[in-house]
Amino acid sequence: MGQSIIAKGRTIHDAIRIGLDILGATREQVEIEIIQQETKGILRIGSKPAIVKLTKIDKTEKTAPDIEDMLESIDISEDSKANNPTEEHKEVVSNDDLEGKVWVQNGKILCKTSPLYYPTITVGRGVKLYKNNELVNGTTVVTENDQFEIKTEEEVTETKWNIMIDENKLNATLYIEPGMRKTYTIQDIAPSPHIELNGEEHVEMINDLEYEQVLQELERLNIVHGINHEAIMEAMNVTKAEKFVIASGISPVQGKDGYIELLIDIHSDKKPMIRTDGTADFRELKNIPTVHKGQVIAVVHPPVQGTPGITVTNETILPKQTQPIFVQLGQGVAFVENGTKIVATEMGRPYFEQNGLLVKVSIVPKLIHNGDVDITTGNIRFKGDVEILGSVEDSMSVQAEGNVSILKNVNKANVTAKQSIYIGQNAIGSTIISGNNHIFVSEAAHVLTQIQMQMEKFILSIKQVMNAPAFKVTDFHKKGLLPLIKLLLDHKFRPLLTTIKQYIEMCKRGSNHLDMKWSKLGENLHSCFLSSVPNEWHSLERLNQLLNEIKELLEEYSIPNEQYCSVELMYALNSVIYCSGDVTIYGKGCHHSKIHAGGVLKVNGIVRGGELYARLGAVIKEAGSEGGAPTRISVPADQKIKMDLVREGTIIQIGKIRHTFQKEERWIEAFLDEQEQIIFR
Amino acid sequence: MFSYELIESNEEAVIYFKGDLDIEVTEIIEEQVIPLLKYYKKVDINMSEVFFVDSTGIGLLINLVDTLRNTESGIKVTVSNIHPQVQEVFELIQLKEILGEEVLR
Repeated sequence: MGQSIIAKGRTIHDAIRIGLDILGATREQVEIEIIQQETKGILRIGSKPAIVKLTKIDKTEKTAPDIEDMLESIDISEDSKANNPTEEHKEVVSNDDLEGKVWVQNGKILCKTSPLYYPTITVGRGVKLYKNNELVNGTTVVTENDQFEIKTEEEVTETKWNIMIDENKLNATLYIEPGMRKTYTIQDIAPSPHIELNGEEHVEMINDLEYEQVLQELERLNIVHGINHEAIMEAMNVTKAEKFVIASGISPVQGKDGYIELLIDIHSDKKPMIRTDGTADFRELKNIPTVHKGQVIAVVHPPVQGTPGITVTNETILPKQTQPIFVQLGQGVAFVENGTKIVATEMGRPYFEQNGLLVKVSIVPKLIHNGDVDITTGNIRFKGDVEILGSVEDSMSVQAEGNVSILKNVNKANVTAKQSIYIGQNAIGSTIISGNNHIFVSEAAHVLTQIQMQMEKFILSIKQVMNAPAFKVTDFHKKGLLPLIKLLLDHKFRPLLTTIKQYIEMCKRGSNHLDMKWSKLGENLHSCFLSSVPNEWHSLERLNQLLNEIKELLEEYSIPNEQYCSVELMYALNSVIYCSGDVTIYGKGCHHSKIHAGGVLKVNGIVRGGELYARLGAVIKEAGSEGGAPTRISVPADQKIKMDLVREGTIIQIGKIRHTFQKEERWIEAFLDEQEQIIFR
Repeated sequence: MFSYELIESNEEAVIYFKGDLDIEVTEIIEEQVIPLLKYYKKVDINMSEVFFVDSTGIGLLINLVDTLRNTESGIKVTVSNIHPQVQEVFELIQLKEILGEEVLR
């Protein structure tokens, strides 16, 4: 072999030229081996020179001095001072800059240590760095002797999907969450004493849902009806999680139960005409609709059947079975045209009561009483409406199954109506009761609830005693449960005895107002618990039966009576008014009266003294008195009390929270907040 | 069958009830036991051999205790040695509260 030299240059071309100059040879006389390609760095930083090895092909052999020459020139070339001053200068500068720095180039870690400074690398996301085959955690020091290997991470999630059928099987929904491949690549990093090695994240969405797969799953789920192929196609192309309704059934069309159409307005505007001075003219009251003989009052409509629907699994969804309405005819009405129309056969006020699909229809007769009700006319009891054109005087009583209207006053008298009561003028020292669930019933029901609770425990105790191993039932055939009942009532259930006595007493007092069922129950309770001789009630079976009777009665009571009833009057003094609906006082107001309204209480005047309760809220113009007669207004916890003016000393109660006004206030609206505090607005 | 045995010392008596205290013993209690015990100052009813009771029997016991207590001399009555199973029935009926704690311990 001939002489070899290694030459360096900016480009390979330059390096070769330099080499040939040194060798004094031509290109044909040498063999060229490229050791390193040049690299162009950014602003020459990180650039590398091209290195070539030239070997002279021997023809006329040169001697050793040449080699020395060569070595010299290599030195010269290595130091690169002469030939390419600008470039070489730059390289020196960059070499100085690189001292103690580390950088990344082409996915490789390169560095240049300085005696005083070793560069460091911190491993970031998406990259695993192995230093001399050891995994690096966090930060590591880099020296030129270390071998580094960079591995990038790859995350792959698969496409997720499923098909859900909703509860009614009316829709099948495809939920798709496309898969994803996350890869990282290593970017070049400029030299620096410390670098952070982060992979660059590349995310590729892969939705590999196949049409066939979906069809198979649909088949597996027996979904055959209303498949939306377009939606499936769409689902196959999404790149983010999404839901598609891919099959839908047909909802059934519900039919309609039979119903009754009223041809007359039974709830016509019940308000009296208000005169210009603000008082009401009850003579103009046209609150009671009247029908004549032969008038068609209602049409009975048969039920309409619905159309069935279909589920995605091809099952039929039946519409709800429709029911005909059942009409029970009372007095004064008749069916015509095969029971499709109801005609009045008497004159009077039409009356409808609907409970579910049962409708009771009748014509309520009306009694018109000219003049006052007093000792000369006697009390009035009437199974219909009563209209009194005068007053109801001292200690007289008026009872009606329907409405009662009294054009003048009620003085120290009792007026009871199952429906509404209108009093044209004042109620003084009287008791006015309107509605079915009046005060006696609610009190009796309260006591009965207590009896029910105690009786449940009582029966349980009897069973316990009878199950005790040392207890014999030898006396049952003679005396039944009586001795045991007595023993239990003697001490353990003494309160039950007291409550039952209280109930029986109540039934006696309220016999005029209470339904027969209530007093019958009282009698049964008496036979069972208060009898001193054995009777048929003294068996476990009968005790349970009695308990059931109580439950039934209480349930019946708790069904709200939809029927509208109200009490309207001008002024009340020292009176008791109980109404299961609204109570409205149009005139001056009420003094020292006790009012219980199952609906809304409205007082357009002054409330001075007395106790008022309004289940659905109270609206009062002025409450309280300067004299300080105690005035108490209460509503349940979820209701409001509105007052335009309230005087000192007035007590309001909302739910269980009570408030006494310490000074006069105006425009008050009181209610409870979430912390059960009274709030004023 | 029900029987009883009386052991007396001075003005004090212990009566041992033996057998079931039920409706069958009504006459025995009312016609024999009450007259027999009326003249002591202190009576203890020992129930250790009563294994079964019925409600009439409990009624009889209450009646017996009340009658003796309410005599002119006001006899001090106690009921003792009650069999555990009978005691269970007494507790269900709350006999202790009916008779008073000084009678039934």
